[in-house]
Parts: sequence; structure tokens; C-alpha cells
Amino acid sequence: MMIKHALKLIWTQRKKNGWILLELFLVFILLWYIVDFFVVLAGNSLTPQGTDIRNTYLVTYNMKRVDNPGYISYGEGSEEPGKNFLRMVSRIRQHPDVEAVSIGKNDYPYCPSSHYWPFQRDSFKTGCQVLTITPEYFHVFKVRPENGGSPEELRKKPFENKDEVILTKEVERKLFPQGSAIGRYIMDNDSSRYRVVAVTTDIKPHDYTRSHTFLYKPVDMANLLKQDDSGLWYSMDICIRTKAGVSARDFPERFKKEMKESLAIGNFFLTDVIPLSKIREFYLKSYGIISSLQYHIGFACFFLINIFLGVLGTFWLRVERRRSEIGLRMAVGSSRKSVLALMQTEGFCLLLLASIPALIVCINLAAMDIMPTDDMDFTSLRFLTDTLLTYLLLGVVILFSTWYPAHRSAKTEPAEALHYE
Amino acid sequence: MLKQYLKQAWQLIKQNRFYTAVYIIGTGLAIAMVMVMAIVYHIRTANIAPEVNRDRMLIVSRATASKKGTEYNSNWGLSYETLKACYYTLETPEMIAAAVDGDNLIFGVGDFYTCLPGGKDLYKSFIQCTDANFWKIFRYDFIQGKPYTEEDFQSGMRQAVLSESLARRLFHSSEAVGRSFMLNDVEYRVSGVVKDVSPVMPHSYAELWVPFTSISSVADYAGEENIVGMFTAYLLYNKPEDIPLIEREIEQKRIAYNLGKKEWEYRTEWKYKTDKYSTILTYKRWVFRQLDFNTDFHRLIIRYGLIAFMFLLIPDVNLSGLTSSRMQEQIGELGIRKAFGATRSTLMGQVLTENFLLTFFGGIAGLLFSYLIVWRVKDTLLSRPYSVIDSGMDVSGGMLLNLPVFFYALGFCFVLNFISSYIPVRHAASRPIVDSIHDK
Repeated sequence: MMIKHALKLIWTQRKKNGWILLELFLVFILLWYIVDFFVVLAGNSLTPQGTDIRNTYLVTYNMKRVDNPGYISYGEGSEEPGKNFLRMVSRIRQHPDVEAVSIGKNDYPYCPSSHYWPFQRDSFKTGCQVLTITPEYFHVFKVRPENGGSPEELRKKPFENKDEVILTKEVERKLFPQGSAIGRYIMDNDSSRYRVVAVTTDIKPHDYTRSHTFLYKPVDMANLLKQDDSGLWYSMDICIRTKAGVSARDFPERFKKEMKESLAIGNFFLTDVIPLSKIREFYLKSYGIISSLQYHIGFACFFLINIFLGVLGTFWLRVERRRSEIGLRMAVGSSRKSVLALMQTEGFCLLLLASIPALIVCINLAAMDIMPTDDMDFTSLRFLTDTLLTYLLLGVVILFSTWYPAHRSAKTEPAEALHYE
Repeated sequence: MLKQYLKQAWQLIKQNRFYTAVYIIGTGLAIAMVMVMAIVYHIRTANIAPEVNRDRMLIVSRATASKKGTEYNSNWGLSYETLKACYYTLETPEMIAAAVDGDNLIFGVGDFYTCLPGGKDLYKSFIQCTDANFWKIFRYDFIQGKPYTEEDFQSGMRQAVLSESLARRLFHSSEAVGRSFMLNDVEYRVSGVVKDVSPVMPHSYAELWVPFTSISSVADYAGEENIVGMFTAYLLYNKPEDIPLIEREIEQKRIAYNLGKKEWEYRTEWKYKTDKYSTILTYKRWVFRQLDFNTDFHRLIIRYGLIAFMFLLIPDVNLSGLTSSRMQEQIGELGIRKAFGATRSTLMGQVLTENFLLTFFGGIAGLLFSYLIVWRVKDTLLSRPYSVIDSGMDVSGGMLLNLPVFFYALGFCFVLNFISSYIPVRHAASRPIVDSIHDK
């Protein structure tokens, strides 16, 4: 009944409704696009990332250069630098608060640099981010095998020979769509063959995107011993997990103080202990994810405030002009509540009308592949969620912005309103 | 005439407080958003000390080493060897300089710590390693002393220029010339002290500057047959017509340089999927590249243009609706005035003046609001791309209060006002007298 009434009102005033309808149309589309960003973000944050960085730290070290006092010049081919490095690692392992230590080539979750290689199996191809690690990595970052077992199972797999690799589930999907990858072989661009010894759960580079293709290779210990100071420093990172109960607040400073002397070995010396959470923060900032979030929130607020002002303005002026009409209504028995209800219904009807062409545009945006799919596929669930949330947001704004004009008009006495001719 | 318009406008504003308020807020919001974009654009691209030559500078901060005969690429900065072979020997540019900053050095050398000789209080400092010409391209404010000279640079002398804050931190005074300090356990002497530079300056911010020849690992760190490294080259040109000449000269040197390379070659093109971009950029293009390295420059301009357009369009529609609604109210009055001889242009002039007055107030409010936004969100808006420095983006008064910024603001106000007022007002004023009076 009221809807019919509202629609009639809209029709009789159609010329004056032109502007607000146009605004609702434009804002619906823009808001829908922004809501989509948040839906992808929220949707992705609900799926597990695959690694656990709580209580983990990156132990950084540097080396003395030729011009530094105390620099030791090891001969070419000397294994001392490599042995010094391993001595550092074993002393770190002996610290009472340390549960596990892993070393690897620039490789830990949220590492700023990455190595990307193409791999193939028969006719299937994919690129993988390659991490060169020791088996303790799985323990340090709690990476699990695909069947949901414990990280220990991965740690026990044969993972020493150059050709033994461990894949994440996404790689298996890409290269072995029909079956399991375990025990089978894949090749890289130089036609070197690798045997898959295990498959882990899905792992995402960060929480807000889809799972990626990662491949784990073992550190070549023999090669490590042949490296000089520079070679080691440029490539090898040290990550640790502290035992449960070790306070994160004072551990870095305490560790640095306690280990400063014992970790000054050869040309190497300890520089810092950085919690992985800080590295994650830096990663998200440098990939623009944090600022993207801030900008989207800013845009959304901008549109919503504009719609608020627009609807408020439209209804307010309408109230001013229709005082006589409202007076008449109240004189013949309409309550204040129903005046408000009529206004809100009118507002929602306007929204609905404007949203029909808007949704057509949105559907086209989706069909023309304009919607970003880097982080999530564009499914009908995504579309539905976007649409419903957009309606919800605009509906709430309309609810609030019609309230004040309705409140104001309802305050006038019927006689006075009638007189206002 | 104008005086009468203004008087009437002022009357109307007092009578229609709601309309005025909504109009000003709507305008203010729109102006604020586009002004934030304009202010950020101004700070990032206008000539602001020490980067006073932004409008006649080419920047080469990326270099690609390509394995001959393959599609395999390695991307980074220039190595010292490439710098010497392809850039230092150029004749067309007025001046050539090179530098590498703390963000790049972290990967090749690690962090830099300063302290007093014999002291234990290590302070992690943000450093820039430069040549001598660097001080001719960027204009720093020297409180004391002077920069290191070309001779210092050639011989790798351990001289340094300190920022005022660092000098005070180390020596408790800004009078530091001639004094010594330790940089990663190596002794350096202070040759000059400069006024602090805001981290907002991507190419000239640091806490201390040293000749890059004084640290062996900086110049030595290179990859892919010594082609890529950590350096950025700055080329100063006299007039825009020189740019293609410079590019041609670089190309000649590049080809000659690559003849001496076995497996790898140096390319000045950056490839992304099927697109190719030049790594020799004007300052403005460099700024846009940092925003999105993989999108075509023109597409980026269009993208930001659309965003700015949208910031003005949506409130425009709002304001048009508001104006049009108000015009409905005044239809009767307009009809009567027309009957008494007022022309369409007189009527329009009246309303447009009113609206412009409101827009003007809205514009001022918007400008102030934009300052507030820039101040509160400056760490994100003015962020250094891929930098460890993610806070402390100081914005000076001069960056906000200047003629270009004011002209942007006035321009946006005018556009906004015109678009939102013209159509509804013209429509209302054009209606026949009889209709207008009847429509009561």
C-alpha cells in the first residue's frame, strides 16, 4: 500500500527527482566497486595463510669489510667463512629460549625479495616462488603437510639431495591436476629433474590474496662451505622460533645483549633480531596494501557522506514545499510515524529505481573482466555479497537522512501547516 | 549591480540556513578531496628545495641486464661501471650526478651506524652516498662548512656532510666542521652541516652524506657481469628539446658498452608482460612510475583524472539537485520579476552570484579541510616508495601555502560552481512568465 503510494509520489515529482536518482545511480556503481574491494579483503582474510609467524624472529648479521679494523682475510677456497656461519647458527640454537633455527636463501614469510622460476610437468606449466631452506623451516613456521598432519612429518622427509623438492598444494593443482604429485618428477627450464617428496597445505604470500605456487628446495651444504663471507652474507638468512612462554617484548634486546659476543665469529657479527610481525608490517606497507585500504575507506566515506547530504537536502526541501500536503495528511489522521515511514519508503523506492540501471552496469563490469581478480575469482557469491552490502549501506544512509526532515515536518501543527499556503 | 547581487545574496544566505549549510558542506567536501590530490601532486612534483631542478632533470634509477639471446632479465639500478660507461661521459646534459641511498644500500651493504670515536652509543643513520656533482644539482642550505669536493670524491676521502639533527645528536652542537665520527667503525671527518631535509624528498633526504668512493663495498657491489648495481643517475638538461638528444647519446654509449659484454647486455627498457617502458625518466614520470611501475604513463594520468573528476562530479550532482529544488521555490518570484521586466541574464546573474558566494565559502572550508587531511594522513599520502622510512613526513608551510595551490583551489571552485549552477538556473529562468507565476 505504502509502496504504491510512494511510487505514485515519485512519478508525479519525477522531474524534481531527476538529480537524486542520477546521484544514487552513480554512487551505487562506485560504492559497489569499493565494497567489492572490502569483500575480497575480508573473504581472503578468512582463509588460513599457511604459515604461523607468532614467536618467530629474523636474526640479522653483517660482515666486516676490507676497511674495517679486525677484518680477517681468508684465502680463496677457504671453508672458514662457511664454518663460521654454521658456528653462529649452532650457538644460536643453543640459546635456552630458542626452540628451532632454520637457514635459507632470502627466504622467510613476507621476505621482500623473491626468486621466481618456471617449472613444468609434461604439458603443464607454472611459475613458482622458490625458497631454499633447511627442513627446520617447517618447524619454525609451522608449515603442515596437505593431509593436515604436523610440521614434524615434513621435517622428516628426505630433503637433502639437490633434486628433492617440496611443493605447496597450488603447484600440485597446476602441474598434477588429476592426481598426487608425491614421488613424481617435475622439470625446470634447464631440463633439470626434481622429485616431489611432499606436498604442503595451501600457502598465501599474505592474508589478503589467494594461495600461490611455492616450491621448497634444500640448502646445498657442500656449496655453503665453499662460499666466502660476501656470498654467505648476501644469500643466507637465519630465522628462529622461540619456546612457548618467551615474552616477545624483551626477547630481541635480551638476546642481542646476551649473544653479542658469542656471535662475533670471524668477520660476522650480530646486528639485529626482528620479529616477523614487523617484517610483515613492512611487507604490507611496501606492497601498498595498507595505503590501498586507507584510500578505499576514504573514498567510501566520501560517497556515503555525499549521498547523506543529497538525500537530506532533497527531502528537506521537499518538506518545506509540501508543508500544506503534510498538514492535510495529519489533519485527516496520519500520525507522525506514518509521515516518516512514507518518506523512508519513498527514499528506498528511489534507491531501488536507481539501482536497476546501476546493477546492469555492475553486471557488465563483471562480465567485461574489469573487476580485479588477482586476489579472488569473481564468483556469483562475490557478486551477491557486493550487491547486498551496497544496498545495506545506502539503505542505512537513507534511513538516517530522511529521519530529520520527517521529524521536523511532523513537528508542525496541522493547522499551521495548512495555513502555510 | 554586483553590489546589489551581493547584498541580496547575503540576505538569502541568512534566510535559508539549511540550504546554505548543505551547500557549503557539499562544496567543502568536494574541494577538499581534489585539493588533497593537488597538494600531494604539488609536493611531489614542484621545485622544492633541495630538489630545485625537478623540472629540468632526467632520472635513471633502474637498469635491466638481459641475458643475450634469452628473455631472462635482471632488474635493479646502475652499477658503477655502467654509470661510468654510459652516463658520466655524456656531453649534452649540463650536469651529471649519481647517488645511492639507504634504502638501496640495505640490500648490498646493510645498515649504517654512527657514533663518536670510542663511543658505544650506536645510532642507525639513514645515509646517501653521492658524488661531488650531486651538490650542484640539489640545493642544500649549509649552516656551516661546505660539501666534499671533486678531488675528495676522486680520491675516496672520508669526508661527510651531516644534517643538523645528526650533528646535534653526535656533537651536541651544529658547529661540527672538522670534527670526527665513526661510520660503521671507520673514521670520517665532517666537512659541512646542512639544515634538515624532510623525508618527503625522495632523492635528497638523508641524515648524512658521504662520497660513495669512500666505501669500497658500495661501488663494488654489482651483478650480471657488472651491469646492474645500486646507483641512480641524475642528468640536468637546459631545455626540453635536449631530451631526445640525450636519449640518443645514451643509446650510442649503451651499444658500445654492450659490445664489450659476453653473456649479458645492458638495456634501458623495462619490460612488463607485453609492455616496454623507458628507464630514462623526467621527474614527473618518475613520480608516476613509483606509484605503479607497470602501467602506461597515459593510462595512469587518465586514472587519476577520472578520480578527480568523480570527486567533483558526485557533489556537483548533489549541488545541482539542491539548486534546482531551490529554484522551484523561487519560481513564483522569478515569474513576477520577469513580468516587471527583468531579463533572463539578470535573473541568472543574481542566482549565480549567490551560488558563487556559497562556493567561495565552501572552497575556503574545503581548502582548510584538505590541509587537515594532508596533515593527518601525510605518512601515507607522501610515502617514500619501498622505503624503510615510513613516518616523519614533514610538510612545511611553504608546501601548503603557495600560489599554485591557491590557484588550483580557485580553479576547482569555479568549475564546480559553474557546472552545478548553470543548468538548473538557466532552466528555471527560461520558463515562460505565465508558467512561473502559475506554478505557485
